[in-house]
Amino acid sequence: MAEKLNAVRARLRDFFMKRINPIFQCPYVLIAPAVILCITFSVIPTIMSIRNSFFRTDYVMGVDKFVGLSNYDSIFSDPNFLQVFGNTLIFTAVTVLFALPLAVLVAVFLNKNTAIHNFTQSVIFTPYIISWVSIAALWMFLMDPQFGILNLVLGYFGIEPLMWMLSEKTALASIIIVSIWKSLGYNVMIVTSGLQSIPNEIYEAARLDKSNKVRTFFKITVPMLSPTFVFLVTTTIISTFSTYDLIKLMTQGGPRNSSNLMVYWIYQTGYLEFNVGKAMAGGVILLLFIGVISIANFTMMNKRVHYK
Amino acid sequence: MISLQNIKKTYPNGLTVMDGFSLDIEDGSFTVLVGPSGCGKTTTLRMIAGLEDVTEGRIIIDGEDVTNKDPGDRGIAMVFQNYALYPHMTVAKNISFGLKNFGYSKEECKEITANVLELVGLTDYANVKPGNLSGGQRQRVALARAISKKPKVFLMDEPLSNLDAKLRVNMRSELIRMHQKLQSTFIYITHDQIEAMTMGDYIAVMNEGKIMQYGTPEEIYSDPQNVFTAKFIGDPGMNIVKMPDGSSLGFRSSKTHFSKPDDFDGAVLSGEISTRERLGDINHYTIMADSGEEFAVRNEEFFDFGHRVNLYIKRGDLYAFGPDGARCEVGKDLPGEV
Repeated sequence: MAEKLNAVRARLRDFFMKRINPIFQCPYVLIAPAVILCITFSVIPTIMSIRNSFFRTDYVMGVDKFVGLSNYDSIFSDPNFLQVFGNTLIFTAVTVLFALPLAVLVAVFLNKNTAIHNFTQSVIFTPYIISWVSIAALWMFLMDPQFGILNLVLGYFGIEPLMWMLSEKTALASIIIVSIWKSLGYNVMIVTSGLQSIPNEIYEAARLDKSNKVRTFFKITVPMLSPTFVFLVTTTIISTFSTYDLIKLMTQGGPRNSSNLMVYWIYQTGYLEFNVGKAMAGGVILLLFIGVISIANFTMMNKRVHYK
Repeated sequence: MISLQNIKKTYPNGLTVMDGFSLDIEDGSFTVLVGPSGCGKTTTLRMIAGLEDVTEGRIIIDGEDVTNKDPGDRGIAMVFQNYALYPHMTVAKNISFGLKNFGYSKEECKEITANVLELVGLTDYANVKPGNLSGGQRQRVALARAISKKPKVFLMDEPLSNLDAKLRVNMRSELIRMHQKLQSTFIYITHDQIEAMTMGDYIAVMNEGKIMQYGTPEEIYSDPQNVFTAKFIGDPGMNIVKMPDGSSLGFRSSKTHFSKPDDFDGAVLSGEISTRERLGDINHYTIMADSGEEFAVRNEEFFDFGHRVNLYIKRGDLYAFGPDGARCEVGKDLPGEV
């Protein structure tokens, strides 16, 4: 019995050594899973959307016809798309301009190792790990024009109640506020870690150099945080450009397209109007835009940024 | 003159590192604070600089009480152990940053920067960032930054400890030259007693927040006031023999004889050679005495391991310390030949 078992074991070992091992010694086999995932979920969809942006596709009628640049033509003459594009730019610019300075301010204030500071930091971080659905529900409640707390607070200051998401004027602003609020904790954490990587002696040297607090902040802290800023600006721009959940949950792009953003517009055009070609053309524009901004951001900042 | 008067320092966690600490440092002197890690030398320097609060007592620089003044207003400059240069600024900007804060005009900043860079021999590196400089060059930039402010006092916190051995020797003599040229007061911290001996006009040997002895290098070496100083200063430190009554005897490793000198009057110790390093002209021995103590001995005579020897130390080369560790007269009864 034992002999038989040993023989089976030996044959199995032989099989593995001779047949299986050579397969796994090949580097391409080892990277295959990652490459397959990458091709299936990134490369093929990208190629497909670029291809489809030049075609008129109708899944119901079975039409798939090459139309050249006519999809691009139609989106650029579509006032809705131009408005959405503008909204996305405003949304991105305002979010970056407010979220980062706010994060730096909070981080500088919280960068002390006491219980209350650490606690506050954790509290600020919580929104980041809460799902968009809960956050949207919460803010829709807070921003309710009739029963919302925000209008109540504004009332104390004698400010007329706002319509928030229900008005064309304030819908985009409401989305921006929620977006900044959710990402604040994450940004603060990244800035804090950047602050903590600045050695204390440098601040002591600055004190000996008679530098006051403001000058030390702008001449030493800010430049030494520059790698952190590049990282945060890039990730924030990419995440604002691809915001979808918030729009879907809170405003569905309304009222009258006033809070619509690129990704939600692509979804609307592709899945609600079934105009796949037009949606994909929008997608390609978005892809190009994010690419250009990321490259520009990195090359521009690389010249001025200090890396150790 | 810099004078520290009855300084007490308690850290926020309740630890008192020094109490009733007083020290006067002469104008234009090169004073070295030396001691083992944690003896309070860095704390002392940082209190003079104003980077550390003083719990009690006063710090006076040139007759002016600076205890509660900002570091920038004390007329001092500091060179840090790891240079503390601003990594995002060029060498020239590193120097002019402080000058601007001190109210110099643009032209003056430029001129002073050029001058100090020439002084430390880094004129060609004015527009280079510290990250592209070697350790020695960075140290020179830190030095230039300190010199540019024309301070009354230079504070140096182990400035050479991050440099390699050869560079350290070069920088040592460069610092001494710099001190002679500038004629300002240098306060220099090190845990390396060789640096202390070679550089200092005065040495303050510190231990556990107290000054064990303050004096010139010669005094400290040849006339130690207590066991700690005797053991700490010198390479190797003084050998200490415990006596039955609790007091101790000390002798330098080079003042020993293996054979009995003529007209001998002194102490005799016997033991066995446990290690030996032959350096050519001289041999370094460790001798395990019969009492179990180990002594370092320098001698020209050559013996092998395990050899039993008698060590003869003349009365004039002996130091006696009382049971409390303080220096006293060499007594009549000395350990004799067995």
